[in-house]
Amino acid sequence: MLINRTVLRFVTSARGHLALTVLLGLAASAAAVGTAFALAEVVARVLSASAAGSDAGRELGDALAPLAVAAALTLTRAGLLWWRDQCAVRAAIDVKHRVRARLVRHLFALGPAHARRTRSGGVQATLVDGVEHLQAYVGFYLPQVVVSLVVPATLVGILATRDVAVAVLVAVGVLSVPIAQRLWKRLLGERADVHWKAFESYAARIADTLAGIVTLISLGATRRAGQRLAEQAEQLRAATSANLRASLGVYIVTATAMSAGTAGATVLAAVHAAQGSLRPSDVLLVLFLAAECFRPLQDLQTYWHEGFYGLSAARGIAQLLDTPPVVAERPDAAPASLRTPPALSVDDVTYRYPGATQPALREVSLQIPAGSTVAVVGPSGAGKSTLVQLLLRDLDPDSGTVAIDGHDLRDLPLNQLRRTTALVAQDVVLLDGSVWDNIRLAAPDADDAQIMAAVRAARVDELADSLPNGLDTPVGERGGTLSGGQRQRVALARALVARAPVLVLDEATSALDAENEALVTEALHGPGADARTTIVVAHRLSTVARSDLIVVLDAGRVVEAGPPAELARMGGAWARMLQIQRASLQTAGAVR
Amino acid sequence: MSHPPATGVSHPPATGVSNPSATGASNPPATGTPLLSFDGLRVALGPSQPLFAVCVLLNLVSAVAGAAAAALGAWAVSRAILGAPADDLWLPAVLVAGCVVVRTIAVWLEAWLSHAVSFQMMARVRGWIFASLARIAPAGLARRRAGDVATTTLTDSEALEIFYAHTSIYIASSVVTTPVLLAGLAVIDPAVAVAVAPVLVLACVAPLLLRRAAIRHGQAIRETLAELGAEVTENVGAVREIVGYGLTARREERIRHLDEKLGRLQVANTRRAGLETGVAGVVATLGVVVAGAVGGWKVGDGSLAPELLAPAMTLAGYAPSALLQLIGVSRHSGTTRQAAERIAALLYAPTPVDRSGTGTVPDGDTVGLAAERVSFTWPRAANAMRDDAQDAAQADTHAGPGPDAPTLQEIDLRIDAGENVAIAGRSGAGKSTFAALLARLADPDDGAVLAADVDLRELSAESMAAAVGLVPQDVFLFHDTIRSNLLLALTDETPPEDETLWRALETAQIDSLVRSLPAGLDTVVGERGATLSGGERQRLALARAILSGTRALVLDETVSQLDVANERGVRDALAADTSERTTVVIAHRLSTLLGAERIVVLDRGRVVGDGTHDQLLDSCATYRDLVEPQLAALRSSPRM
Repeated sequence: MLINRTVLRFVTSARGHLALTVLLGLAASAAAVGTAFALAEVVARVLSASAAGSDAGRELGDALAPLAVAAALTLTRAGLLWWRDQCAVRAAIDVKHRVRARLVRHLFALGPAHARRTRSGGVQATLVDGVEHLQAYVGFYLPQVVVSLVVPATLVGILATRDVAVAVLVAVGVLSVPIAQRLWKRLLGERADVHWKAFESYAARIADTLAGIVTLISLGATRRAGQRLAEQAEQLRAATSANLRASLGVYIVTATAMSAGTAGATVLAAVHAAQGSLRPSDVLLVLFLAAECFRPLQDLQTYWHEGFYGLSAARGIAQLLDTPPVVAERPDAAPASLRTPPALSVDDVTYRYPGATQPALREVSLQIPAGSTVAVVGPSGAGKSTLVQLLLRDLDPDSGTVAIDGHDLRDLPLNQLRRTTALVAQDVVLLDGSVWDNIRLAAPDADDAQIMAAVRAARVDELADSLPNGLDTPVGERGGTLSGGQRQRVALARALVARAPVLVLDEATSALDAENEALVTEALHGPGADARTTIVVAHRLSTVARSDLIVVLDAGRVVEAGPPAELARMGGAWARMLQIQRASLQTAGAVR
Repeated sequence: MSHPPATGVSHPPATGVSNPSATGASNPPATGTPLLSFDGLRVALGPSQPLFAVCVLLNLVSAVAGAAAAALGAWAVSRAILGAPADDLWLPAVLVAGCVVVRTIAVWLEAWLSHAVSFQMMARVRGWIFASLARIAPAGLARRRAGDVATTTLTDSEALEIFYAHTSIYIASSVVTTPVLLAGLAVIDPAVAVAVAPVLVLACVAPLLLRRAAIRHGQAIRETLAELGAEVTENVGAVREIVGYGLTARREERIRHLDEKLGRLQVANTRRAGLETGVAGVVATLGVVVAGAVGGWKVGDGSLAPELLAPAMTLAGYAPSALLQLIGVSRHSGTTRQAAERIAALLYAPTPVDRSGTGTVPDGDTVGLAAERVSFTWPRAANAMRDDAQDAAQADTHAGPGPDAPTLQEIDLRIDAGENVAIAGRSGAGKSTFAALLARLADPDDGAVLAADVDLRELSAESMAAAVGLVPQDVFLFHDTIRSNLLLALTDETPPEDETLWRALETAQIDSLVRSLPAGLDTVVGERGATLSGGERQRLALARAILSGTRALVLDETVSQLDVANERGVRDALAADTSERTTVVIAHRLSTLLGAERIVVLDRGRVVGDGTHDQLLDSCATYRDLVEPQLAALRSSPRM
């Protein structure tokens, strides 16, 4: 059976509706059983009357009463089924609602470091479609599990009071369905897995090929790729055909069990009747009741897909809920009084990503004075983004400490820390709404003048001119109406409006062209600059040349740090970076 | 080497495979054919038609055998009650056993064969999607990223495959099986059959009557789910902002609100769906009751043998079984219909770039490129693809239509063979669009783009790829080994020596990284190249382009993610590479611009400057504005 503990935890909240769903399912089954009794009675009366050779009128009259009962019970069953559906869906909606709310809260608790690591598609799949799969699982599959346990057992019991041999035959049929399925799974377990894995990887390959279609077009390789996909499909089909045949062999057992169970029981009952050991009305009861024993199982079978998807969705949900936050607030964390702007310090910090062989940062120490602008430079993979994440406490160091105004970040409440810092990253996400809304949300109390000042500093005014409705233009889903550079500018304005004492720019101007980048850099050094401590990560030397302090990282270590002019004189790493740039310009004669 | 036409219905692909396998590529249905129709099914089935027919037949056999076993059992019971001795029951017993065996085999065979049909369908429908995307991407995707479209369409294709391989078998079998069972009932007693027929009609009609409401409900639910999806994606992407700016309560409330709306819609939907469940749950019993009433009356009347009453009732209970099977799967019909509409929008989209030309570029070392009075605007919503919140991170955007895709106006430009030209301009000036036209990801609205004086539109797809290679801004690597990713660029059947690969990697300055990887060339790059950094991906794509031996190379911001030292290395290596080629490089960075022999400046889709750095500093205001800040930054830093 496909049952998941995490889901059961949420299910308890909807137990009232679920219990009612089960009861209504049982009542619907009872109505069907009652109908079977009534129909057996109809046939028994007609047959006994015809055997007695009485006249037609009385025969029909005798059979009319049970026939009416059968009809009434059938209609009642229809009503009960309708009602059960309503309860089932209400129960499921209740559970889904709780699961979603819990997941969203957990998602926020997991924080930015988690979001950075996972693909948003995965979380969306869990939270939207995954939770949606719970509907049929919770509302229909789970109650049906109970019904399919209770009803066949009861009916076999009833049959046993009439004819033990028949009851045993039916019981064997009923039991062999789940047993066969389990046994088959065990016997074929690995083989079936191989089949589905091969299938999945083929599907993934198709998705990958389709996603890269523009690359294939550019390389003139579409026809080759298309042909290869077709060949792989054919290979996969050939390779898994025998396997499939075997894994579907379970159908043989279940189909035999069901038809042999019902028809076999009927024939056996007939034999017993012919031998005189079973009364006519009881034989007929077997005829009409045997099939009812299998109905709940059949219904469960039709919900199998729902159960399967529900279970795998439940696993995804459990996995997300069981993911611990990367950083957690200490129970004794208390707000500290921080200066504006604050100083930051990194002391002997080492950090290794889970699963990585090498630390991303080793024994890094660094002082960021209050109100200064510090640039972090270095080749790709030097650890720049890791350092930023540690400074924002998206990550906690493995050893060493990161401190703000002398307070270890881990001693502060996360809320205070997050209000103190603002990040503008390379990939900016805007929220649905207008450009103005997106800037305003950072500081609901700011007045229009303050917002406009930020708008101008981040060069959003110029971009708004090119938009149909200026600042009131909707940014579209995830800011899709704007280009990368435009989104970066909006995010920058948002961060400026927030007036966070610590501003971190992680490749925040990478998508801006040189002119806008220079203007934005200008604005960052302009009025208000000393009210915040600024940390800039950038590739372009022009972005960082005006910083108070430059920190050069390489392979997770600080290779040098100091004011740019001083570093240039020292002839170290920074000087080499400048020299390379200068040399490449000199070859072209730009700087004479 | 001559190239056959790449597309076109009348030209079968000239491949080495003479016998297109059952799962092989096939042409999509003729434009406009509804996918969820008999014609659509016929085309989709293609060579699987016989297998499909066998499945329908097996479905019939299993239904009939099941009904027969039950009816024979009922007959045995009736005879026993009416006084037949036990010895007379061996005939029905043997017949029942036979029916059970037949049914079992039919059920198993059908399960197996319908999976086989399903698999063939999957390959075929995906083949259509692949062919369509190859035909229309990226210009025909309006503002959608190819990656998004791929994800959406693959999900949709599953719904379509289920329809073709399962639902349509049930539909066909309902049409065939139900009359057969009814005919069997008529053999026992025509009056009973006539009386039971309206019950079957009820089973068919009830879902049809409610269909309109079902579609409406389904649509509203899906729209709300899409809203919810967009909301969640936004939350995931903006966790920092939401947490940092204290918006969690507000965002949770928004989700709760959408979730409640969804719940209300689903409750409304269930009021209708419950009716279907109710009807489906009692139709069989209703048939039995009706058969009991009419049959009982006929027995009394003497026109029906008493021992046939119970068999008639049993058979009446089995008559709607195929219809019930169909009702069971029709729950998903709304989803299927929408999926089919989206796939049809893709399959039947007009061809923006017709690659069926057969022209070739004259043999020679390198080709010059030219634009003659080229005007171009990216098409807007060219097809009605759903714009939902699929994972944007997986996109293969390239120079495709971006959100602020600019317009080119009357561009006239000649780039001589072997020349090294940089294209400069502010964002939105049309640089990437121009690169896309040079690589023929789109065709100009007016004017022409030429390679070696041949209009690109006349070239075959292969000649085009051999003439001009594009390394885009946003590189796409396939989830495969580095070797496979490199070899994609080559048409030859026999892969080249490793040494050739290494040379290309060296030119792109990525050889040392590849050497440091555990499996070297055979290292698998993660999903969409995710295990590599942006700069590393760019260099691998560059190596791929170099390996292809393309005679003109268009680099769209290809070095933007490299640090200065790496950038210079790539540039020097490209220059030192002996095979002469034309290079067009699009750049923001001063050092990249300065590496070019000639710089073309674009502004708002027009050429506003063309010359060397010094010339442009003197003559072109746009260029001065563009590079002055970078020059200033350099001047201000102390000399060495």
